[in-house]
Amino acid sequence: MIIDSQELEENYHASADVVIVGSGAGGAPMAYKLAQAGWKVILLEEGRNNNPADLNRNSWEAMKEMYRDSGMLATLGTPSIPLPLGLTLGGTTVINSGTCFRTPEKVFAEWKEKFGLSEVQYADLIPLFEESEKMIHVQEAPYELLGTNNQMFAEGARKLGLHGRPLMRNVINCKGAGICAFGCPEHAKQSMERNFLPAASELGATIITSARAEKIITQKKTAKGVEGSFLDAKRKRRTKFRIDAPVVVLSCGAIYTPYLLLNNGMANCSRQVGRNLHIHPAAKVIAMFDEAIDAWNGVPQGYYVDDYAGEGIMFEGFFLPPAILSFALPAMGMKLKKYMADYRKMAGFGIMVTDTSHGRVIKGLNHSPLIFYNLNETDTAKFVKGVEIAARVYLAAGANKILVPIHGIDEITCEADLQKLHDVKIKPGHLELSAFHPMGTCRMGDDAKNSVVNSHLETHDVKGLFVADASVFPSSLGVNPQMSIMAFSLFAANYLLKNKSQYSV
Amino acid sequence: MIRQLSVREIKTLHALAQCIIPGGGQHPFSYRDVDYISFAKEMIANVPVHVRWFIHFNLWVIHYFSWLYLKRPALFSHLSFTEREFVLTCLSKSRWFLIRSIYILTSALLLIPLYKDERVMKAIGYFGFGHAGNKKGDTL
Repeated sequence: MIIDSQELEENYHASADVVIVGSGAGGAPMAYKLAQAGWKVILLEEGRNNNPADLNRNSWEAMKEMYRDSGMLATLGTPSIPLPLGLTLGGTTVINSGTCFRTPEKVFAEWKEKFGLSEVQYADLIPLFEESEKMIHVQEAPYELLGTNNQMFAEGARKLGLHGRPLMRNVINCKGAGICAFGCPEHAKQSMERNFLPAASELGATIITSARAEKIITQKKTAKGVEGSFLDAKRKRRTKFRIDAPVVVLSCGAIYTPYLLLNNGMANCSRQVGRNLHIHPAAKVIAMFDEAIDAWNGVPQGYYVDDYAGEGIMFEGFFLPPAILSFALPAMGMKLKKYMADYRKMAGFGIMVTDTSHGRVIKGLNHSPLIFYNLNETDTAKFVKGVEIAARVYLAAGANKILVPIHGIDEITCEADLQKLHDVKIKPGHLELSAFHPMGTCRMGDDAKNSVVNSHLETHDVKGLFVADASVFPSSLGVNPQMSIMAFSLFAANYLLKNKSQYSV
Repeated sequence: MIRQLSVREIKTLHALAQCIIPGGGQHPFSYRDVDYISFAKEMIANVPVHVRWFIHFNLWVIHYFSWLYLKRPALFSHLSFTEREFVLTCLSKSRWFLIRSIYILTSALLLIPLYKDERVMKAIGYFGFGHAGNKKGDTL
């Protein structure tokens, strides 16, 4: 049953075997797996059950309804980086680009080496990847759906001898509507509210939307349930609720899971809650061509080039509607109008960096955490290299002008202009970035002194309190994280099923 | 209780809009065609408290501190178009990210309402997602 909290009575009180907070890539698979085994599951989602088809003809309306804080969440530091997160049934999977990568084996091996993770082997994750991929219909994006935007970059990359290929995406009958980041209007993207959540609901799970978890109830260092508020249509507190359960799973993402733990003063003996934040900072390179590209036509993120993935630089397609792209361009007044008049001739590609920089989430005001993150010199150098490569690719593809996200170097029109990237020392504050993959703020590990959860994702400090989202990843993943989140969530669910007697279920 | 835009902030926004989304140029739409004040109010009501403060702070800085670039006492909304354009260019080209972000966030208050307008999107050739599929030539 998927139910809006407004349909529930005041001071709602229920009990379950497990209460899961968050309906994204962490919470939804967990709910499905436990409901399948006959557990009484209650899943709480702070967002609403939106229908993207009603919203995404207007990108701002979609952001207001489906993004946390209307998409205006940003890090504080140098540079300040927008960090949009989903706030809707299905979480960020509803507004992501649908890109699916398994956890890179090399990254997993590094985690094992540094943090132990004694209970989990890479081989354990493979069937969980397969299970998730089957459930969310992962398939390679067909070349004809990539649109001219991705095809131009692919052409340039091929000329430079780089290796790229269409991305694996979770879609059925994708028609390339081109607005994945504002929810798929065709319901082609198989985000959580299309598969795991309805399946969990059919198996008896209760999914309550517009329900904000605020307090984790514990007794003698054992989880006992969750208290919080049901929200009204204006997202104000309507009434309190309480769910009693011996197992509590936090899947609120790497910003709000630590925020909830910090607000409750919980699971933080290691003092690592909220620390070690990685975000996969990303920069965009915009190219102008002589002919119309219509970059919005086709899958925005359909192609990638990973020749430099070993150095922590990944190239993935992107494009934005005019309202959002307009304030990301390095121009003002008449010059900006000229750029925007050439909107049809623009193409865009993103550079995502495996960050060695790390930040921190702390308690803020009015249900808003504060996120601190400073980009270091190492990651800055990766961006400079990434921008140079992307610009070379576009020049090879025939672009007449490239707009780069580096202060002081607005336009590149020929190979000689690339020297500008080396003429001055580019500092972190010179970059215009965004980020979409927060992780690491409740990292997993065997040692309770330097990690928050163990390798079956249970907090070291509170029995029965689990974290199943990207906050458990000990370092920057290097690829889009949704498949890794699902696999680790299913791993924790399997642990719970095997050990349910420990939790009085 | 959310503090909404003051009279001074509305004046500043009008003065900014004339420079950031001026009339003429490559497409005919400008500050005259959109209700950016309502949009700014809506945004203020929907963003986290620290972003809300930052919006008010930005408008305050732009209004009272233009003299730093002009080297003479001046309030932003009292400046000529050329002087306002000069101040905004200085902000947007600053090597300090915090100063650039004053410009970026403030310009977003004006550019989003302009470029989310269906007439403007159509004028620049963006047809977006159409009910008949997202093919070239479909209209909104």
